[in-house]
Amino acid sequence: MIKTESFYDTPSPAGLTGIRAWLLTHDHKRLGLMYMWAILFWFVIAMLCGLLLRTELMSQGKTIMGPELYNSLFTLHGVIMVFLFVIPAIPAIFGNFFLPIQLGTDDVFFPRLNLFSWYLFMFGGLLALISLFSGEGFPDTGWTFYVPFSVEVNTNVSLTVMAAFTLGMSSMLTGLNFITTFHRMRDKQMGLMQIPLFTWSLYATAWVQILATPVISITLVLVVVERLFSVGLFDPDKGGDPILYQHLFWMYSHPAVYIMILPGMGVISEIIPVFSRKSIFGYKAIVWSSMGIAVAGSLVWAHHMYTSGMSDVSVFFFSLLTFLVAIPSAVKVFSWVATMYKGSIEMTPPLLLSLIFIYLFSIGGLTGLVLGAVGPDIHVHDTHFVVSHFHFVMFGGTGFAFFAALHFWWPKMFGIMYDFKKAYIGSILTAIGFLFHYIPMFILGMQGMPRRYYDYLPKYETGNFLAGFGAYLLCIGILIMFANLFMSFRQREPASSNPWGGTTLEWTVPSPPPLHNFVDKPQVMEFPYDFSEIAAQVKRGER
Amino acid sequence: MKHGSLIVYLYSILLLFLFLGVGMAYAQSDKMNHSEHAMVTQEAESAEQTPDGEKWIKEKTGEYIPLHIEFVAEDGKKVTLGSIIDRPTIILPIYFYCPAICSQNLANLAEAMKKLSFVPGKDYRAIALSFNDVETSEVASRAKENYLKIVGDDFPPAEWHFLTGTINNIRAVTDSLGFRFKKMDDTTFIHPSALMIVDAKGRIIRYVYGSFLAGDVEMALLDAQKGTPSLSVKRLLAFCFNYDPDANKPLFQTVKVSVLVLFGLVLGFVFFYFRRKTQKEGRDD
Repeated sequence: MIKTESFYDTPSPAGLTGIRAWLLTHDHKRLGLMYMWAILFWFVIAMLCGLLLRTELMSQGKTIMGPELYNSLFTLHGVIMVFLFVIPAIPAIFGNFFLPIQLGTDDVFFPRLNLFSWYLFMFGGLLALISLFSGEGFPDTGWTFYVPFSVEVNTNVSLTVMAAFTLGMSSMLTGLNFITTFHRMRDKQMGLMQIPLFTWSLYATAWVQILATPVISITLVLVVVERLFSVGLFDPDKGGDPILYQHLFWMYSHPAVYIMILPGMGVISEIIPVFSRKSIFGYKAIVWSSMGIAVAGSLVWAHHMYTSGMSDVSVFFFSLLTFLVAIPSAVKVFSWVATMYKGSIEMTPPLLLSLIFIYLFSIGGLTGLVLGAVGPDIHVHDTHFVVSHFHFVMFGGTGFAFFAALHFWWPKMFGIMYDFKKAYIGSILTAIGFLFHYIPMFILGMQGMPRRYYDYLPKYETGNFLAGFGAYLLCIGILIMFANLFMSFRQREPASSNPWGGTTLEWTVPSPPPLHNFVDKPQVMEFPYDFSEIAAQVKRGER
Repeated sequence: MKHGSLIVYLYSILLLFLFLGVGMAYAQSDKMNHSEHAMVTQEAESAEQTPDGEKWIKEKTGEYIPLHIEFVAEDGKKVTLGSIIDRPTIILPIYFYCPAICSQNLANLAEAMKKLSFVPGKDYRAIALSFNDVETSEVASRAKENYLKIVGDDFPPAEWHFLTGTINNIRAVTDSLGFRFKKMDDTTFIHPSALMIVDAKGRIIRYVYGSFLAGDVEMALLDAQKGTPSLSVKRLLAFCFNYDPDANKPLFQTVKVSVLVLFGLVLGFVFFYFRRKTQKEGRDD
């Protein structure tokens, strides 16, 4: 291949140098990296908050902090993790970097809007940070801002709500960019059923972002209006309805859960076939299940409100719809496992992390059914069972998919390879720590331990100690994983353009890619996961 | 590294903000945490200072309820609160013949008490206090019979009191608890659903919101045994009120129109850029 200059050496717009070449860039790849560094920063902060929380809970009574600090820390942990890590991580980093390349184009449809989205993201993050520490402090309403607490409390609800609004706008504009790029910039030879599954998952996510974000934005604005003018929108005394707020809130926030998981599923759909050397099983089923999850996921919001006094008929319908979401999710899991069946499996860190994802996500999904069914939900709601369930989905699912994506695309983004052995040690330790951390929480929840308390009864001590021990293992595993990746900058072992034997377009361009991504006209394959050429290369001993 | 400068700049800014913030928060928490009591008082004061004064629940953790107030028990006998509250006590303000969620609250409390590891009578007592002054001890007695069936045979009936009283006595207690209720024209009430735990001296220890998990109640009783008022965990403040879905229409329309306007603005913005882009591409060609 002809030696080409990578995007690191060619700023866009041309002529910019130093830090300006980054902060004013229109290049989707640079923006992806800018998101990456910002998001990793937030992730580490939120992880440390979580570690402090679990340290407090390792023994009964006050250990390292009192109830006020504990309350602030867990809200901080939740808000940063949800809004600044889990939701944006995969679409903003890997979506920005790889969606245009997978579609065979040189950039997103609106490059300037893309830069603006990054600034909105940073501004929203800083607003959240300011709201933590200014005025009367961070709201103790949790991330749901339920009325009437959010209207009555003296804490910084308005500023935090504005931060959430700004972050929502950022993700909405990114979604808009992805949809327009998908339709307008795609290589002309690429039909809908030739698009890689990661891009499909981003497309489904983008629709959810675009349609649901305005609802939450307006709802949050109404909370601010209520705080400032006491109109009585949600106050029963003035003819308002507090339950309506919950409906409006969850209409967005439940689909947001799918914004978190869909891109992760897309990542896994890319990794599994590459390391099985086999075409993905049920390509069309996976595409339709992504869209199915996006649609069905938008209809199940009220399952967060079983105990709010809804009518039994509504509860029945929402419970049924919730169970329906399990079908497209199970289609994906089945397809991944079926892809590996009789494949020529090559174990690598990204594949190991993907397998851990499948295992943990399945547990998260199955325990979700326990909560989706009305009867058991009444027994375990607001207990540690719920905490464990959503960590299995958000962290075991999206978190591990993020780690897998990082290990899968690292050689492409930086043109260097990392050490496999350390990556395995880090991944395995993270997975073991994860199980030690969250399995005891399921048991604690079934025993009745409520969430959000900095203290507990003596009978819960063993479970909490084990969970704390797991938290330390988990953090050590993650640190090893990150340290290994960062060490690769020092070792600089060069990566080829296609180190894994992938078939999608990003593996046909140099590592790291040049400014306009493609040196030659992209060759779109009939089917994006056709491994016959790769298999032939293996046979010839070229790989 | 090619993008080393980006990392240095970005992290410098983020860390600067974080350190500034943590410094400010530390200064703030230092002010707040002189003692737990000071914190509780401060919270109570800040609630007092709100201009509206119309909160449904104004938490008064750490304050005392009047124990000399007299009510009528379900057997028709007069009792003072002080004669019941000589150990940690759960107080649930509701009214017995409520068409909305009071019955659910009583049932949830009964379910929670069934699961508690504390022993009723020895470790705690419970009071269901009707704030409807029209209700009589006969009504209270019928309600008690119902809910004792849920809590089970092991629960000593004498440890759960169903009280009724005059409006002045009711107000004296609910005001001291910071609990507001409002009678509507159709003789129903609007009121929040929450219960309070007081210690043996009638000091308010904690407010419990949501659907009264056994774990929530247990944590509050543990604090009441120690006599340490503690922060409540604000889950959800549910309301008991007569629901009229049609009344929500104007708000729903507002949300719909606003969402469309916001959506239109974003689409307009994109359309504007799209036109500029295609015009520019046309010129370049």
